[in-house]
Amino acid sequence: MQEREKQAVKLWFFSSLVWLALGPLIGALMSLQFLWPDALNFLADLNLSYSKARIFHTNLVIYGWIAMSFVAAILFIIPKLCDVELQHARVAYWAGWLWNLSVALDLALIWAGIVGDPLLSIQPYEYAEAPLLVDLLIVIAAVMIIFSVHRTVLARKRPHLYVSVWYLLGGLYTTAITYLVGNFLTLAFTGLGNQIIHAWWLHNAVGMFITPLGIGIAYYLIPIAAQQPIYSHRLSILGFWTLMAFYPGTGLHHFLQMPMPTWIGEFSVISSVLLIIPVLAVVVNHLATPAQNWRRVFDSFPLRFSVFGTVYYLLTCIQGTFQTTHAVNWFVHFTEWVQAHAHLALTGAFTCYGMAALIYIFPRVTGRQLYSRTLVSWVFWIMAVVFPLFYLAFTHSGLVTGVSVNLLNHTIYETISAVWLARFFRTLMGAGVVLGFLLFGYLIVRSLRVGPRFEEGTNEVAEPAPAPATRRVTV
Amino acid sequence: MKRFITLALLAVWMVLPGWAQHEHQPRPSPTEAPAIYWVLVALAVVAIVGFMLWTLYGKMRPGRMTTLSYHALGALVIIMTLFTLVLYVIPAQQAQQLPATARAWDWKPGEILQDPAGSGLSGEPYRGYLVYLANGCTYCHTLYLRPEDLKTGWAEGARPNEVSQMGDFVRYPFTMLGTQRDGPDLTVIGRKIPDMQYQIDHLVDPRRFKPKSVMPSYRYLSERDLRDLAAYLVSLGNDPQKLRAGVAPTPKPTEDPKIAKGRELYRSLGCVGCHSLDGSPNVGPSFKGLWEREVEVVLPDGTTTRVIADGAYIRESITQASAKVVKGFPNVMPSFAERVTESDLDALVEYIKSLR
Repeated sequence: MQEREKQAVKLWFFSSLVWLALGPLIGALMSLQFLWPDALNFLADLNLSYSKARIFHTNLVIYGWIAMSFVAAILFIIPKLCDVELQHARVAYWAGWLWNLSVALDLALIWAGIVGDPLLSIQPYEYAEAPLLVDLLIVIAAVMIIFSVHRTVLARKRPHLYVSVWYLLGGLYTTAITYLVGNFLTLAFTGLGNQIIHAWWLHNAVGMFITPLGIGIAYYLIPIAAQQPIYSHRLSILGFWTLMAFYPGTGLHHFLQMPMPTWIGEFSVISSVLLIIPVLAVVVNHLATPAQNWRRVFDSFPLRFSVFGTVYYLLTCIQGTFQTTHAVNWFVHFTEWVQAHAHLALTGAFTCYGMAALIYIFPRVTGRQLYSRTLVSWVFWIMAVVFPLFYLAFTHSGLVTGVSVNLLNHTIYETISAVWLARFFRTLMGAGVVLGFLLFGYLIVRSLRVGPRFEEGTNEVAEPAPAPATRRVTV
Repeated sequence: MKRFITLALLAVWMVLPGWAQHEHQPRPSPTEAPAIYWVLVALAVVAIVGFMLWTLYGKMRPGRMTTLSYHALGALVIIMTLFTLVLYVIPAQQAQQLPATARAWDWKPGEILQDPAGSGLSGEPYRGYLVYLANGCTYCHTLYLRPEDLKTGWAEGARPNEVSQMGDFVRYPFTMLGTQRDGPDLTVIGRKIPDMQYQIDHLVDPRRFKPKSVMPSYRYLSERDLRDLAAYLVSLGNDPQKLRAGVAPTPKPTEDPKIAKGRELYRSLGCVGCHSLDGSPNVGPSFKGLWEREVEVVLPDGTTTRVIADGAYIRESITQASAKVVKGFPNVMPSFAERVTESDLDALVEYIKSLR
């Protein structure tokens, strides 16, 4: 890798860590609102409230952590798969600064809460709250990234396009379309029409932006870390095209119960249930590939994290198809069940993919191994044990709310007491997950200074001393 | 063989939820979709099944793809995404051209709303809606009522005719229907609590009126923002024409000072947050027609009995609400024993007496 390529990857890489430390921390803090609401009254002195903190949390996690770590991985993976250096690496590098600037400006403008300014006020669309000014900057940064990646693919020395390239390049294009729809096309509609276009954006922010990029990264990491060829290329084709066919239509399942023509709602439910096809195709491929060489899951942390991410991905998507059907949806709608589902996808599946990518990339751009196997294991076990407990508490809170309000006809004020314990447990376990993220950040930053030298073929994580030479493997 | 079993299981997985929804589907009879929609659905199903069979069993020769085919496939990704987008744009176009219903929100920029409770406050509802947006109210409150909400605890005090319809939203510049309810639905909050001063006080310190509320304090908002937001909230669920004309009955000048004091206490203590004056139930029963009516109450041990809502009962309810809770309402009222004096109680009783 050339120095300018490394520089671009490093910028996106380390920026994503900053936002990873900050975003979930805000989430844990704001969950106190449901336990001791008066304890957060001090926020009002800072012109803040739970509701603004929530926008901070979602925007930081999506645009700060997920997007930036994924782009770092894309800038690393695409040149490898195309057997060519990253084209226009300076453009990708400056796009990183622009993206960081956008996220910071986004935070500042959400905090300022300007009322009624067309350029500086936040927008009323979940995950697309960024004001128009920030949207423009993000679009410029995204175009720069797409330009660089597209040119790299065009200049490739290897004629064959591996499935990751399909996912990553296709994912970048659908990301662009989705972002433009969510932030600009919505402006052209009023009334209920506005809500329908918003719905298209709302789910595709996950489906056409985070999902294809995350899966593309996992499709690269899993075979290479497991040292196995991909289980089935047919399945990867099936997965890619059915994802592209079924995902874009799903958005309205978020608003199944709003007054609107039922047939468009049915369309979104059918799309959502059909999603199980690409999901199973991807999951079978991701789990059957390392199955031939299962020992590697213990040796290789990128593999371990991405396989775990795939398990969470499967759970998320089974839950997703289940809860979009009317019979389930009326019960869990409006409750924290849905937020728990979102956390299973983003904190469970895609953060695991992001971490796997970072662990894989770190030694290859800095020339140093991660210094502590113990610490990586801690992060992994937090993601494997504490996170599911966090998720269960979250879901439990949603279920109790559903029973209390939908079946027992209790008011919301009565329900709040019923879910207190579940929410307390959620905050406790959530704090554990945040601790895991902070440990991960610490691990990487400290490895910059004390990590042993890395050579291609050694493990990404330093072995406990004395390092046995027999562990060396060739990739 | 294994593949067919998998496919069959998949089919069952897809059909079962659809089956179940017939019993639980809260909104009856699907609206008719245009015939072209069903043609498209049929084409899509055939294409999907064909495609799946091809990827599973078809012949694939590596290295056959030309650069042109790559470009064609790349274009197909974009076309597929745009195709579903069109499927959303068409109903969105139709939805925003619907005729507005009578109670549709209808406030233009610059238009001022006078407080219907007669406090002399005023605010700009349109700008209030933008304040609602800027502070993220939509992350805990929804702005639409489903038919089933009337039977559940999501929207206490809502009436059957207030269930949201498509036409209710047409005049909004954008919608914030909301996906999460950590607080009550606000579709008819203005009809339930038509009092700007209460709304402002509640925004500044929610737990002063609702001790179990988890709402954050919005005391950081400027006075203008608070007034506009309160005006927006008060405008919700009311006929805009009536609000413009001023629906509040102006208090009679010859009124008993005790009643006037009671009216003031009704607002300042926050009774207005739960007890309406127009006979509709909210979190608590309405004060209209309450005086000397026989009510069924639940005692702390769970048994029910009937009492006459006289002065003694009303005093007891204010100072020790959980002693006798009117049946059908939640036991959530805080005690006001330390916040009211003897003459306050007198005034409140007189006020409720005047609401016959």
